[in-house]
Amino acid sequence: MDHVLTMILAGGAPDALGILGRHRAKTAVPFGGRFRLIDFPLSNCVNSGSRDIYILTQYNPRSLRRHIRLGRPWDLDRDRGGVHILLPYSGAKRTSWFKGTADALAQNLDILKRSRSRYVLVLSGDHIYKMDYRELFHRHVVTGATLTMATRPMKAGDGNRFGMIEADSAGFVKRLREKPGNDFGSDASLGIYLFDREFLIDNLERISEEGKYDLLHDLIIPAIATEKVATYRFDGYWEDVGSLDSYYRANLLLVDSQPSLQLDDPAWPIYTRMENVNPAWFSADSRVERSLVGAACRIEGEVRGSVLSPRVVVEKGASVENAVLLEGCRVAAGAKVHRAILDKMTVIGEGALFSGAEGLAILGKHSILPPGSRHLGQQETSIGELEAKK
Amino acid sequence: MSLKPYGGVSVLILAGGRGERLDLLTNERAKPAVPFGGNFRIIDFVLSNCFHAGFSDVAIFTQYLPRSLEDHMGLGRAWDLDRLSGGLAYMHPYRGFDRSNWYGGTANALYENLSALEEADADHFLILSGDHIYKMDYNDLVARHETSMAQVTVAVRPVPIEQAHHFGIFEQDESGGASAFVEKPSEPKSNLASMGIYVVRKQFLLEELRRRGPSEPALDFGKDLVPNWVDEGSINLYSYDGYWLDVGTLESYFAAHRDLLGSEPVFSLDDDSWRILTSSQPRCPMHIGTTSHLEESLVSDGCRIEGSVVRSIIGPGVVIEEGAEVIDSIIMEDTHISQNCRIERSIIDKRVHVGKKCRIGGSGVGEINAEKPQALFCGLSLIARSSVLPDGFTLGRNVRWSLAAGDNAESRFPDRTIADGASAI
Repeated sequence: MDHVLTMILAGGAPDALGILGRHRAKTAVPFGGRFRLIDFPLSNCVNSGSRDIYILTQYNPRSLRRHIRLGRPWDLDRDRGGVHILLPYSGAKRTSWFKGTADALAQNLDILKRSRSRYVLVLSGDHIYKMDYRELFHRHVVTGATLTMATRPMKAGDGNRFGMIEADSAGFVKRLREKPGNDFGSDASLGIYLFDREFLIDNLERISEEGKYDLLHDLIIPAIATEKVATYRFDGYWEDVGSLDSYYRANLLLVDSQPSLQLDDPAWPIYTRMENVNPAWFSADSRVERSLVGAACRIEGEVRGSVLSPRVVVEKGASVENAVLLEGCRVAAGAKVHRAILDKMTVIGEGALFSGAEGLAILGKHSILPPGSRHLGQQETSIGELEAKK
Repeated sequence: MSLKPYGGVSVLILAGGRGERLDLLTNERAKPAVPFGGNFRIIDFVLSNCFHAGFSDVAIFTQYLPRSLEDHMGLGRAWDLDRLSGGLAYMHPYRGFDRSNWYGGTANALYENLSALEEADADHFLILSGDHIYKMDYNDLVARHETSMAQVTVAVRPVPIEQAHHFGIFEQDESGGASAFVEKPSEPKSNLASMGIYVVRKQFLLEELRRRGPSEPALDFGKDLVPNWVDEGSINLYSYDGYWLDVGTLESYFAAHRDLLGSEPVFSLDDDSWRILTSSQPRCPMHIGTTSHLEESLVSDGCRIEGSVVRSIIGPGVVIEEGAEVIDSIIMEDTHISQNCRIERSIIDKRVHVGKKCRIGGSGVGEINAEKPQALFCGLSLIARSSVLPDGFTLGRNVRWSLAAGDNAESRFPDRTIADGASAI
């Protein structure tokens, strides 16, 4: 993988993640009681031997930058290569935000030009999967394609969520359409592309002059007609946690004893930055079942089917069921949390109820629910909204 | 050109000892590198104290099995000691043009590195032991030392009089000054114990080392220097009454772990104002299964718990299978406890595999260990690092076990039983 330069697209606003995305980049959204979404592509890179990585970002970059810093948890704190974060900047020729995925790359064309790598791997920063990019790379080299994209068979009905492809029997892409519905191919493109560097540079320059900014529509789809575009068919776990519902489900999947996404596989570690590694405390009154519990949690109540990030406190008589609690939440004595996502540092007051009932309830960062208050049913609420209601 | 260290203090940590009474725990590692409290090592406490106090010029004196410590501490990054100026230095015995000596005593270790001490741009040396469990802000100690004008300040703490014979004991005159010092007195006249924490003015220490070092190859702080300094009137005492423990024996090591448990523990690892820093790698959150039962226990990251854990401390990556019971025990990193085991009052080191239906330890004291009566006398059983217990073995109290996969445990012990006080090594 020394011939591969990796560009991770991490600039998107997590619109569909509601209040979870209000204060952070989508790639910095916490996942699985410990990780952030960026940990998955970044760990995949390191495990695949790719150590020359740029992360392109512009939306709420602080949380992401604080997480990555010099890249030490991924062993990417290196003199040559390593990980770098690229933000829009003002220059002598032009000053603009990244206007699209292709524009983000085009604005950093000098990096692509200066690189001695023959290939460029372009990834999304917000998908959860474990992939050995060397297999994609081998497929690319063997087929002699200009562009190879990872694809995966999807469930019926998912044709409205992804870019779907039709391939010929040799595995070359014939057509690609964004969210075409169910009458198209069954395989989706996973947003993982390996380009010949020269091809990518030439085409970025061309479409940029034409005022086009989207990598998929303006560069990849047109290339299918003229270039050899191969597929690398992947059949492992892959999830785009683009909505609150899929985010919730992907988290809760992890509480099974044999989950379809194994996070502690010694052969494919997912690295992350972690400061607090204190053991968690379980009192004599604690009852915990089918759950993930993070470092330095204090559990004195009941926890079932839930994912708890570090430093969560569940007090005596409190109960947490089918919920995702991010770092530092406190569920006070006698309170109940059910079918819910609590963002960082929220407090559920004594005896309060916060439940999505049949739906899902989400409580924003730093919110405090007053003792004894009841919040039942599908909802998204935060401290600001709570105060406005007063 | 380097910056003068913070407070004019250069820290010297003595971490070369073996810790013989910890028996199998220190067979493959230095005592300060013994795991503690799930995710930590004993050395983390003094290093975290230095971090919180702001002292960043730290030399660590090693001799016995130093690799365990170096693997853990690395460049000292976890404690912010990876620095351009000052930072962490390892002081291991070495051979030179006109010298080739092992360290014969605590002060001799310093004497053997006299040139490094002379070069230190410090006014005082803060001398610490690498194997004590406590949280102390050394700034207060150093400030009191500076204003006292004494050459040496020693931190002292009252201990129960019946345990005083384990410690170096100061006697005081009417004004509260030190009048005598006896190392491990058989009939202690006071309960004021030295904590092994010394602040010494740089020039005074250098002169003492130059004067006594050449002729005393076993020069020791507690045995040689401190009694003499008391007689000369050079010592000022600094009283401390916070939590402090020298984990010298398996009994005190175990007791220190009991102090971590409880909703309001005697000694909290989870103190936001005084975090204990360590260099452990992050792991996944622990997975708690449907058949688990957890009670008054500390459990670390990366564990998979299906069995029952009561009043125990579980290190990272431990697996406890369904039907297994762990009671009043310490289980270290990556150990695997199979189905239907019962483990009571035991210390199980790292990467041990315990087979199905094994029984280890029990309540009460039982017969003292025949081979190591100094180490295993209070009923605790000890399983060495990376050893394997085949299915169905029963181990009594005060038992030592250090048999690995190829050691034919089944043919050596056909009845699969190790009685109280026996060793399987």
